[in-house]
Amino acid sequence: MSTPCYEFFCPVKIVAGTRSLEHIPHELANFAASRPLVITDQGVRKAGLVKYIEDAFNSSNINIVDIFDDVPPDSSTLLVTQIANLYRKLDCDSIIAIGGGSVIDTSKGVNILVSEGGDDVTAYSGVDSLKKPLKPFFVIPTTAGTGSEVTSVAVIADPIKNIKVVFTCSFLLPNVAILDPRMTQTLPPQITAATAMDALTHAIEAFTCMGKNPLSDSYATAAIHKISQNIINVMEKPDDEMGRLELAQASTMAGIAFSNSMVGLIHALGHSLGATCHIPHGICMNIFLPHALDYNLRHGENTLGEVLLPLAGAEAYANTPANQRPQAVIDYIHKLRDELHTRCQLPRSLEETGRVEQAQFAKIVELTVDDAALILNPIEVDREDAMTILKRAW
Amino acid sequence: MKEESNNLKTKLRDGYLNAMLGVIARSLCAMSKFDATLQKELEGIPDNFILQMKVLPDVAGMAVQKNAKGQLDYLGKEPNASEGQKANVVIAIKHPELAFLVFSFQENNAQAFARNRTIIEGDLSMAMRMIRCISHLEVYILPKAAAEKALKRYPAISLLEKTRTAAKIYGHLTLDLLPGKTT
Ligand SMILES: [Fe+2]
Repeated sequence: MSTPCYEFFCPVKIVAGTRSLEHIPHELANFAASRPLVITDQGVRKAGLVKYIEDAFNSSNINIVDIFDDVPPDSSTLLVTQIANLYRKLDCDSIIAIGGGSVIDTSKGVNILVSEGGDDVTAYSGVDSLKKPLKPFFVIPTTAGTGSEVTSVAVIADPIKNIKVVFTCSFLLPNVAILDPRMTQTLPPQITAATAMDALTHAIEAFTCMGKNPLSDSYATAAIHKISQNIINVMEKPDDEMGRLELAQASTMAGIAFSNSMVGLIHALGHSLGATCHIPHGICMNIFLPHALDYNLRHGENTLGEVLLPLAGAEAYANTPANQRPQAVIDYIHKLRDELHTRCQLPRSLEETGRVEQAQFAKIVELTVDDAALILNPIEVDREDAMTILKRAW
Repeated sequence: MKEESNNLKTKLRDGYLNAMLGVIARSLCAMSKFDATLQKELEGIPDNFILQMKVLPDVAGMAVQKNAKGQLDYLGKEPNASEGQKANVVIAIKHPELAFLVFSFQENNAQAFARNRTIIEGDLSMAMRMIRCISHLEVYILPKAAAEKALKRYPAISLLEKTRTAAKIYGHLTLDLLPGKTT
């Protein structure tokens, strides 16, 4: 059952579709901004994606002031300070982030410093520490998975204290998110598959965990439908522009869903596995998705069956008796994972990653029960339960 | 003019919230002196760590601190800022009426969080540990019907075990409350 009391918030303007990048100069002008700093990483640069944005600005009266293209996969608060100083030195007035989770989170941190002042972004960590809107902030995701373009959270490592600093505040939300199919077209097959499974997990957890509500449900089911309709097509034809766009939109919709309902057990396990064995987040999601759903189902979770309609389509849903639908969802996910494994060797089990040892299970269990994502998992999970799921996922 | 503030019902409600938070805090401290499960959870928490729970806007609250012996001490309604005490984790409920839903077992903690009624600030993994400690306590000090509502899963414990542990908690509580004893 949906929670009868809820909050739902997503003030991000979404600009989606072919040639969306060309909308950026006009959108900047809407915010009275004309001196954007672009923040990105080497991967995006080498894939030639920055060129598309530069071209989009060519026939406009706005120039990109500078491009910082060296955000590493594990960014830090020190880098945030460095980029903020660059922004101030060049007298920029807005930020355009192009990339995945690390670039987007770093840019959120930079926006805090350049808007609020100071050199230490950790001073603004925690919940709702910001009290006013920040500088105009645009995000162009280059993976279709994290949903960071519509979430109000940033996680940035503090290398001095050796901790991950969490920032949660609605003012961290971008003003505009641009979904242009060109930006995800060159993603390699395994990353395409892994990030799509991350988005699918966001949508399924949003739909089955305790924070579910009528609005997040509608985004979640629409995202599930788009992913299941397009993932295999895109694996088959990587340059299918419309298919890429569908996955990018699904990722954003799943992001809107989970940022308003939160995630659960699959993410708790995934965060812990990622932190212990340095396995990419999307692969962690792919590994745990069916096992955690199975655990929840067998202990009384009761909304999974409705996922069958968007996942497998109306015909399959109608032909499956109501009491068999939850299991049919899990079976469908197993088949999807097998298909993705055949096409791009996306690991389905801990063993298939080649990077996990059973001796690490105890540590993963300990991190899992300490992960805040468990709060809204519909079913209680203790250490023994987490260990059982890990063994099943081996 | 806020009529409500003079209302007897409101005063009773706020009194009840303060009493409940006080009981939870003191029972948690008492239980930390003998219960192995609680002590194991506390092992993973740094010394001098402070948990604060409060009902906004400053209606009720409690704070407990982990000491060097691995047990919890009751600090009072809130950490004492003048002694340099500052909470590492704050769990706040946005309004006394919303807190009453939780402490009268009409809504469990997870539901209150799902409904955006609760704010958790600070180190989230430590917050998870403290929430487990409180759930573990509730199994023993609440009547079974209330605990079943308060928790996602009521563990399989015998009535004898429940009664024995509850008696121990109350025993320690009474000792702690004896005049002249500082905890
Ligand atoms: Fe995720």
